[in-house]
Amino acid sequence: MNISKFLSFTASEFHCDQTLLTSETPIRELPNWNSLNALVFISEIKREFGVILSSKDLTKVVTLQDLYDLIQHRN
Amino acid sequence: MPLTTVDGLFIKQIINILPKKKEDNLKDLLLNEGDKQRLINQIGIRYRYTQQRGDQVKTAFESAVKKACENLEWELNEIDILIVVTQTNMALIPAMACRLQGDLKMSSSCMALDLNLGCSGFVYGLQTMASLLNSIQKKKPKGILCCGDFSTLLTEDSDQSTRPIFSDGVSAAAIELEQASSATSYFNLETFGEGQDAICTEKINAKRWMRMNGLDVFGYSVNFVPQNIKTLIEFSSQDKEAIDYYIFHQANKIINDAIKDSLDVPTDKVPSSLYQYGNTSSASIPITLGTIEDHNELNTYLFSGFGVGFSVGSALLPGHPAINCKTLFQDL
Repeated sequence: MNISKFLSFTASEFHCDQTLLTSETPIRELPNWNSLNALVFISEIKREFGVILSSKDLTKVVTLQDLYDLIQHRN
Repeated sequence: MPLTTVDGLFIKQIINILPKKKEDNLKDLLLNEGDKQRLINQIGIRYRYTQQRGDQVKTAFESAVKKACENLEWELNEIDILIVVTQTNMALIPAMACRLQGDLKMSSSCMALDLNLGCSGFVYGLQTMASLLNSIQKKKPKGILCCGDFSTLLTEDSDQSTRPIFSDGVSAAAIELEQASSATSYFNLETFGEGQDAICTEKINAKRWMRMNGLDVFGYSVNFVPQNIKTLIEFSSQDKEAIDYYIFHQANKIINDAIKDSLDVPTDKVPSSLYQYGNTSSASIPITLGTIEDHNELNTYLFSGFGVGFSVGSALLPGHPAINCKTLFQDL
């Protein structure tokens, strides 16, 4: 998966228009980012990429690019 | 703890007690529409039962114990061991088991103790009970295992990540150990204390509130629970296909589905009570057992509890008679 497909995956998870997202979008500024939606997102990342992210991982991540890089690194 | 076995363990009866007051997550004003739908569709919880009168968890335990003994025609003073698994004994001391033993006027020869565990507690309690009963020089020693919490005493109304998840509820399981029986039950009890902060209490202005890190509970659950269960099944040498029911602690739908998928188990073998009852801590396995309508005469039950600690325990009871399990509602 490349970053563009990852942005599309993220847009679909957060039910928003993909054009609103770039690799520099901070994850905490995703529409309706809260603990409930973060859990759903993390579970879908596990299903899609087989990578389990912790809350500590997320504190280190700022943008969607950072998140994509972390998943690629773990995968 | 190593993998363990106990022979002759039989669960004769289970009574679950929930408060009558029912809350609907769809009407929870603290969440927006989208989040409400996600909560129901993905977390899987719609209704919750909540206590209204403060510290009544002991009253609920008393009712459950009395009803279970009454149904079996057991005298309260013939109970050899009383174990209570709870984390909401708001008195802190003395132990809930001692308070119950006294107020139910049970025999002074009854061994009464508490276990401070949550979601793994039913399985831990079952193993502890079976091992202790096994050490009694009687043909059929009897025990009562109480499990459950009034978790809403620890959740703030404004906490959107824990409040919509938990119900208050307790359970009493009447257990007999038949020394002459060779029916073997298998257990795998593990602890991953590095996850102690995933669910804990925090003291604010003299009150303690539960804090749950949902992401880490998910991580620990999917990392450790499927392997714990696989190891148990392998240890038991039982055929995986022969397991009739996988009864998991009811954490949330995301976690429970991920565990089910990792084990590759068909959905009809995995009963769920999340939508109806939410997460009822250590009472969730018995409460889920109570939703099964058509047990066979003999069943192979697999129980798995996991959570606060981070503590994981699974039990496999091959060829166990259908467990008589009822859920009742009480003004609490």
